[in-house]
Amino acid sequence: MERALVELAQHGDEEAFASLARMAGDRLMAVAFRILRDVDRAEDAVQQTIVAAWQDLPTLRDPDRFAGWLYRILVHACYAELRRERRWTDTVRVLPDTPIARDDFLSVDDRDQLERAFRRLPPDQRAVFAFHHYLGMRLPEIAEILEIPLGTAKSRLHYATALLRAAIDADARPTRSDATGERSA
Amino acid sequence: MTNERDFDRIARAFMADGPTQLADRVLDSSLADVHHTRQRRVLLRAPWRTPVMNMYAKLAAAAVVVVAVGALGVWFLNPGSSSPPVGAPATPGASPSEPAAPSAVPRSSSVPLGIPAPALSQDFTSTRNGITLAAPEGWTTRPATEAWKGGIPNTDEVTADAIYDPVLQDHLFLGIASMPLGAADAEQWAADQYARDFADECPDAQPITVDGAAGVIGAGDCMHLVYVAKGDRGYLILLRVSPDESWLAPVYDRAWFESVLDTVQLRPEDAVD
Repeated sequence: MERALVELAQHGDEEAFASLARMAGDRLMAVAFRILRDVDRAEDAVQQTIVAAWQDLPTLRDPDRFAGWLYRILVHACYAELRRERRWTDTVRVLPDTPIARDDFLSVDDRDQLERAFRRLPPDQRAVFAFHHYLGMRLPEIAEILEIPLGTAKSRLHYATALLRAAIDADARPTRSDATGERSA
Repeated sequence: MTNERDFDRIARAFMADGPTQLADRVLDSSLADVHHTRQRRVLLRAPWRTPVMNMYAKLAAAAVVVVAVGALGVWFLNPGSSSPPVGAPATPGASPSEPAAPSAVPRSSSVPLGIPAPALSQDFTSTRNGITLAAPEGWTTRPATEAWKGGIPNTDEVTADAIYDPVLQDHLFLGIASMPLGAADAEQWAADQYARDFADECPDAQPITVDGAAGVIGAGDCMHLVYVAKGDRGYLILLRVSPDESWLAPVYDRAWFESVLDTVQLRPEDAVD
């Protein structure tokens, strides 16, 4: 069904494209937020993605690859958002007010540490990390979607993981006063 | 220390946080934009792969090309003698009543967004290297703090000034390094440095002039890199564009690099070693 809609949309059928956008919208928003960590910017990135996808859809060679192609456009839109964010605004962002499901396994401290550390990651590492840990994609699939070598995908995930793990471990490490049993007089 | 299984679970929990639905207003607004946006049309598309052709087919195809090129040549040499051959590109003025057909160049599906390079509006002066240039607006600058001994520096090396995109970092940056020439001849120094550090990666070099000084630049699709010498100092100026970000190369190309080089002022007398 998706293939038929893609083929219609490639020939200018706006209704078919609207159906595709409705089908993909939630997924795009979820991934964009995981990369950008900001609801407003994620919405902007999704909007850019939908318009760019419409514009470029006739250039898509294989309609069966629509989903991956759309993710690739989304990732580039997220990169553009991050570039704009660094240039024109400060990096302090309000956390989303959307209700979110929380996993008790993740402590508030861990979450804060991860949030701060994740915002320090370059966008390409954020994207690979989100694809792997949110969408559950394997590295070869991520490499194919992002059109990067498998080794590059591996190294991006490796560096992102190392930084985030270090952030959690640093948080878990006892403070100097804890460790030395330092007492106030 | 967090073990791998714990970390994976933590990472999944962290990634599970956050919205999973696109607001209707965003979708509606996007589709309204779509309604006012024209699709790119692809009139020519390269085949997935070159079709296998037998010898006769190849000869026939070659003959068709020769005839078409010949017909076009005759028409261009004497355009008033006849109407353009079928399939020839429309030229402005050929038919004043009709607009020229837009050229349709197939785009790579991997370059979805045309993000222009920022303006070269940020002055950067390196006191260590004795050089001034116009850097892209918004890029981060990190001056060199130690002497350069040769080699191709990366963004995290303290022997080179680094001017880099704050998001893409080592995937998109300008690097500047310099050293005293000592007894070396200026032009020879540039050629020697190129041959020593870069010729393996990019064998073809071309002469170039930067701020009136002679140097060499890598030719072809290599990393954009220049060695140039002025007075008693040799300079390396490079632009690194990561091949991992295929959308960058059409923007940060040789022409863009040369536009940066056009702003360079070499001041070897100001350099500090």
